[in-house]
Amino acid sequence: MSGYFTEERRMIQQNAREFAMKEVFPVANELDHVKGDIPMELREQMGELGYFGIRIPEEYGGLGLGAFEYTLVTEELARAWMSVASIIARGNGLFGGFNEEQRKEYLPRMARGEFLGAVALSESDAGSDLGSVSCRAERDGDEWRLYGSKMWCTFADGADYLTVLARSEPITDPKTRHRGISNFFIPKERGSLPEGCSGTPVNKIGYHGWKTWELHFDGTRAELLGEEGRGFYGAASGLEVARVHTAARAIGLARGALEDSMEYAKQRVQFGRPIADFQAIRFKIAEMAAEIEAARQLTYFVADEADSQRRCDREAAMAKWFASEMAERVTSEGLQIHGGYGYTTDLPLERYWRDARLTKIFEGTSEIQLRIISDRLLEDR
Amino acid sequence: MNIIVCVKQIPDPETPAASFKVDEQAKKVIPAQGVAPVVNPYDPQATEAALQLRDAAGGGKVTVVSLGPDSARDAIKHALAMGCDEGVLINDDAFEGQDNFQTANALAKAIDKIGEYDLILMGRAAADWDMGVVPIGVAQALGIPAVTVAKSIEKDGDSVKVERVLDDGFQTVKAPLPAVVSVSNEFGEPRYPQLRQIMMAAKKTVEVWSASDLGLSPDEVGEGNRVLPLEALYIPKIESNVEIIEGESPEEKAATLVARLREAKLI
Ligand SMILES: Cc1cc2nc3c(=O)[nH]c(=O)nc-3n(C[C@H](O)[C@H](O)[C@H](O)COP(=O)(O)OP(=O)(O)OC[C@H]3O[C@@H](n4cnc5c(N)ncnc54)[C@H](O)[C@@H]3O)c2cc1C
Repeated sequence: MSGYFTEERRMIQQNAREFAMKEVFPVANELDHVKGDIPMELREQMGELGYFGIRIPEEYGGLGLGAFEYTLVTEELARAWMSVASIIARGNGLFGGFNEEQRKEYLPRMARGEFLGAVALSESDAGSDLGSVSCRAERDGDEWRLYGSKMWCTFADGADYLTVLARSEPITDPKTRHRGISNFFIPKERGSLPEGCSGTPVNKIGYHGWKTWELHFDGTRAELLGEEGRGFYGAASGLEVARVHTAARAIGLARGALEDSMEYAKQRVQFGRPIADFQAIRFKIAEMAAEIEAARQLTYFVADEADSQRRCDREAAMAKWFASEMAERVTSEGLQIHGGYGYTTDLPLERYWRDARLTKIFEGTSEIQLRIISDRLLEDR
Repeated sequence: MNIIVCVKQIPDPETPAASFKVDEQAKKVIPAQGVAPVVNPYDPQATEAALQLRDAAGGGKVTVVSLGPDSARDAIKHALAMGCDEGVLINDDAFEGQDNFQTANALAKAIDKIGEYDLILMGRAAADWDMGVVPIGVAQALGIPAVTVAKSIEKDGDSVKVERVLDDGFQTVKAPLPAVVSVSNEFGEPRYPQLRQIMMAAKKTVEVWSASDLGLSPDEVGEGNRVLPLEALYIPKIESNVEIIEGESPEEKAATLVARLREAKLI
């Protein structure tokens, strides 16, 4: 076992694995097909285990662990169901814009899984380019009110609060359009959309277990988070851990494909022999395993750098890019090893494949990661 | 209430049958490549029972004991992560190849050394050999009662009330404490360790006791001193035949089928 592993980390990993395969995997196989929501009992159980408080400091009721432990748990949960690995990111800390009083109030609840968020950054015309958001915020006495639309807000209904990126000043000069954007906070009832906000779920090909919404704000009350006009910079900070988290999700999915394929290849007999005897299949499995391990080690490295407070934005982008591209290839190869059965909805492989496909798109597309990497490499040129 | 729980690390029972191999010459199971050993599935249930009883009693200590190789420390750490207080690993190369009676004897010695206990809990059997004799052996060595295959356990003054699982129903018995009780899967699901408890368990030290620490002499332990000598170890060959019963009517087919089953001594 590599040098990153202490007894504590090994135990955290083992226990997460057991929980994921026993409690999450069967639920995923059942609910993904019917687009059912992650059951509340499962969320509560995860709250008891501490999965929403891994990175929350102990003085706020969390465990005070780092990005590394977060990565370990994420990979295990994603092996079972990516959406469940994703929901832990809806706890595990608040944006920098929250003040001390809010942190004292919300973090302990968050650590228990009782205060989870949804994030509305993207819009129909503003995805990779968040500087062009058009959702508006208007001052109303001491409060703010939001107007306009957001796209792709996952978990808007199930969350206990929303954070929304909106324009608090109109664009005067296209060169400074990143200014004048602020972050807003909307505490809300779990299970419904906030007052003055309506929405429709997006039809998606995977990432089931929770709904992704198109939202319309029509004077929705909101609190300003952090400094007015600096929201864009707030949204762009702390991305290293988010990228490592997404890399770990991709790795978990790819590992699912590898494990299932190894099992299947040993059992499936063609031409009188298990297909695991054929070099074509053996080499596929070897490549899948090697790619997963490469992605994992890069991800471990970035998590460790982040925990050591070292700058690692370039490596974080590399890990996110490599792991998600890898996951698409590996889940597709896994499907290939399963032949026609892989293309049915009777086996979980197609779910891994559908979910892996998303990891190249959200949390910064692959192309955006390559932009970040190349910009860092060439910036001093 | 002070409770001692015995746990065992075993080869993963989920290992695919194709990977299960036996060295007939050496009379040993060959560990499957790349499959990590696991905690015997009944043992977390025994651990769960211990924790519930300790907490219901409003205090006391649960000590986990395992006899096994170095890696068995993981089984102990798992129980500590569930909430047990202390752990002891009985570990000595001299135990290699010994049988369940010798193991029961060594566990009893360790339990004696721990000293204060009201109750000893174990899984109903270890899912590797599935013999279920160690709990009874430990009770015999300690000269205390044994109650096997428990579905529920309740402390009742100086005794324990145990609901046992039988083939055709349930039986409630009462035994004076201290006693050994083996716990069945009917007890219910064990808890998952919380991250906070995992962190605490990782920091705890597990004491390690050797054969001589337990006062066991070399002529009591190990393969050469087995109480139950192992004559042969092999994987049975399973042969299957298919015979299609012919006949004019369903009645005739049924009659022929019954006759055939009688011939084969199956009914
Ligand atoms: C299922 C799902 C759930 C989501 N959940 C959330 C959520 O909870 N909250 C939230 O805010 N958002 C969420 N998103 C939105 C997600 O983050 C965006 O889809 C993503 O950022 C890409 O934006 P876009 O879809 O507008 O694509 P675009 O930005 O329009 O990109 C289209 C294509 O152009 C490429 N491209 C764009 N700009 C460049 C460039 N400069 N150089 C090279 N190539 C470029 C992209 O890589 C991509 O291939 C979710 C999306 C999905 C699909």
